[in-house]
Amino acid sequence: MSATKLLEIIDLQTQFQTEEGTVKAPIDLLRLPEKEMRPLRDKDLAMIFQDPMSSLNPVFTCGSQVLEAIQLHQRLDRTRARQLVLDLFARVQLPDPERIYAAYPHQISGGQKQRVMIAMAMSCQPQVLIADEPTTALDVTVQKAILDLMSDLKREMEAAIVFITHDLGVIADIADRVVVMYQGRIVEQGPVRDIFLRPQHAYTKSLLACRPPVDQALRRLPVVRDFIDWREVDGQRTMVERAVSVKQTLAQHQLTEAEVEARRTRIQSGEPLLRVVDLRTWFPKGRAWWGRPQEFVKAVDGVSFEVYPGETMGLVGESGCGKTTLGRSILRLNRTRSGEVWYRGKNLLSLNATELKDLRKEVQIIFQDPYSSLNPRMTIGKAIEEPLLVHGILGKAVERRERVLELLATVDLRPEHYQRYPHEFSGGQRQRICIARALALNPKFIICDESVSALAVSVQAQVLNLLLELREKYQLTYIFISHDLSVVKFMSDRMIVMNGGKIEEMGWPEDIYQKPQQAYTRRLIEAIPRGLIRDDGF
Amino acid sequence: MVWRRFRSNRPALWSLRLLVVLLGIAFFADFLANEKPLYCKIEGKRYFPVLADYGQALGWTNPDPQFLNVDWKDLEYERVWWAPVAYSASTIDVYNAPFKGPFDRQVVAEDRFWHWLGTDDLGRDVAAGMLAGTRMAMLVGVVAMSVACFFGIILGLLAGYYGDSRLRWTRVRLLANGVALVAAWFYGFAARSYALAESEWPPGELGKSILLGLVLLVVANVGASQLERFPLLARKRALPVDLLVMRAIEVLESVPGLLFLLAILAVIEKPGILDVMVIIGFLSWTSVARFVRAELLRIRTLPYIEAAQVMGFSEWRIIWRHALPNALGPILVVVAFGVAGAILAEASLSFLGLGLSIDQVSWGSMINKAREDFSAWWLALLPGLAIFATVTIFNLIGDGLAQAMDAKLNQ
Repeated sequence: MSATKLLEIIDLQTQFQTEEGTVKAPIDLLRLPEKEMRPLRDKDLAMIFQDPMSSLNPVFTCGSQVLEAIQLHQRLDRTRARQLVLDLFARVQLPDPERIYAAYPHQISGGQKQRVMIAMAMSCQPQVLIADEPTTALDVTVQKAILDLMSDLKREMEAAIVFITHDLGVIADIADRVVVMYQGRIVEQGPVRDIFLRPQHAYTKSLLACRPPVDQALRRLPVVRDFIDWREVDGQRTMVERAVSVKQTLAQHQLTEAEVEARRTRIQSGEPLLRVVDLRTWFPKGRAWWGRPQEFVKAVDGVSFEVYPGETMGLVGESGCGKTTLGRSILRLNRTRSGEVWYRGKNLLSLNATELKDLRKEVQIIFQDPYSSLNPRMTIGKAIEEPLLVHGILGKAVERRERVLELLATVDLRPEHYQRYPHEFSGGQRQRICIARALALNPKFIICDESVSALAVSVQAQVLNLLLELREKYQLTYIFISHDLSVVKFMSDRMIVMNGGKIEEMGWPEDIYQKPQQAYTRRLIEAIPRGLIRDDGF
Repeated sequence: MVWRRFRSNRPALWSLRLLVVLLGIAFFADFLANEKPLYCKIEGKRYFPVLADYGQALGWTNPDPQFLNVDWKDLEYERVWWAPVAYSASTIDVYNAPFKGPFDRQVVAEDRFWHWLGTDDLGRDVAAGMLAGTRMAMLVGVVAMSVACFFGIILGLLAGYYGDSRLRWTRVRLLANGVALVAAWFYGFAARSYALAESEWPPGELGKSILLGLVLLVVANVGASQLERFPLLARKRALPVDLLVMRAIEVLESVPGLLFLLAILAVIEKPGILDVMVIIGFLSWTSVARFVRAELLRIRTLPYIEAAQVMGFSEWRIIWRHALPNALGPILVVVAFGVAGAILAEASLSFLGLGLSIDQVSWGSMINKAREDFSAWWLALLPGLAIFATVTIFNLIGDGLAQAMDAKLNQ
């Protein structure tokens, strides 16, 4: 890695507005000439990237890739280099190093791939390890394991780690010192305790506040705007910090127990809107030679629950637990094997095409990936208008356009966005567009499938607030699917913990969080980064 | 983005510019090479003979009787503008036949009637032939690839979007459609082959056959929807569209293309150039279909397709409005390469003397003439270079497009 590359990476980060990291041994690389840089780059600097899926070459075994890196930098013969790789694999706590050595990247899990990447980065014993969002793409439990590993290595190897992330919760676990960046500038830096307990800059405060807390029930999440005002002064936008503390803001938004109780009784008094009975979605795995499936992957295996009108049902679990498949099965995007899904007295799974088309108006979904859930060749105006056209809801083009503009306003977008294409928008804005499109048909019931997982924490807070506002405004019912326990807890009236296609636990979020009944749930809760627990952690 | 990367590829960009020039030549070939003057004044009257030809072809004007069977070069003009090449591709100049080269002694009335690129065995001007050949080559490319795209896109879309398991019909509908297809082929084409063989262009009998087939299919489907009331018949079965289309492609591609072309042309009575173009198209839809299928396999798993399904859009709408527009980029690459292939195939056939009528000229048929007299280098070299240049242009454009749209560079 070169000095310019480092510079580039920092440039890149400023676009995301946030960056926190720790530096134990700062080195001024930018002034170093390229010649002196090269030996440094070979030995002293190493980098771990965000996406472990694409940073390993799929056509070589994991072992040979690390071996190549070692042989490039150190003069070692093959057998000794191989031994070193196996040692490294054992050190990053990969199970059965011999097997991983011979395995191709697609044969091991995401967490294991990230461990291989760490092993590769450590192979030349760097003094500085730059980790660019290394856990963002991973599950909470895997994230915890990787963070533990990195802390251990930091102590063992006496290496400095620059840990770049948008998630303050992770920082608290691993960092000694924190640097907060906002719009390309460092706004605050100091020891991690100080930053968390006595944040000085308004932006740091907003970052601390906008992560959904697990120990409080809030009406809405604080967002950056609660802490920072933008004012026009002499034609220039200047930042004005509001003098409020994190605690005050959170207290302002807190729901009282009476309010929570009232909402619960109100919701539970009605008839269930959706009733899922013993739903099974099995995917065929092995097939006999005449094509009859012999084995199955049981993605959803005997799940039953009810959702009441106006309720938000949270659905949480690690990736691969079947929560997404469950949501898709309810919408008939998957073929189901058996079971019933009753919605207002109709079994969704046995409807024919015309009946289904009518019901499509009432049940909608918001997907995880805001980048691929919009057709890149359609202006967003057309994309939102299309469902109105297809279902013949508004006859005249003028009326439809009016309605689209109204929907855009509902999700805080401007009328001039009507003619733009999806690639012109940021992730948060795209997710708003998807919400507007889902709302176009006046649905009663929306499934949010990891709808905020791909967004940075501060944007995530805005979208979650929007979803809550819409729930009140249009009397919506949500199934809220996420791997993030704190987000699910913030959003839901009741929640389900899923594991291996089955319901592990179901109940009030507070009960599940404070008195988990199952070992699996306990493990999930323990894996939440401790930076979220503000007062008792320090 | 794609356009910016395409522009940075200089060979591809220059090829595109040259293609525009070639298309211009093809479009205005009649004004660049014509035995009639573009404009003339005879006995105080003004005439536009070339434009008048277009008018007659469209049926707007009648031919002027005074110009029937005249040699335009013998007329007395008060004023005259000739086309840059004062010969049509089919004009026979008996004084300069056979095989007069550009530097040989030629018998011409004025210098402007000189055969700059020589003549062939009948005394036809090679420069005019080159221009007419450009038009022929472009026409072959366009017609052949239109036919190829029509079949390729439809079959590729069906195969890619539905795969082997997503198109589910009831048993009775599958059965009825299968029977109807066989019946349509038998009664429409096999049993009526006598009528089809005798029919002239435009083929009314062919239309009747197709209509009969369509009626049979409609009847089968109406009957099937009635019979779907019985639960045993209404069980759904997947139609393996992908399997069927891919096997058809493999069968077609396993036969060497040029041999297949020759075999088909041998069966057709008096094959014209249009037949050649259409048959080349028929044989090259497979590559289009494979690319469309591959794109659709990727696109159909994207969330925006699922979002469209959840919003209750019809399958038809999803395929045409959401899936196809996003698959068009790679199709452009195949079309660029396909045009090159089609031009080459037509040149090979014309060289063998198939497809063209006597008065039509293409680059391939000109090279064919060069076989009769080996000293006539101008007849082999010039059309050969033209074929080489055109095919190279299309290949470079295809390369440029493929590079500009490479998904790996997009990141």
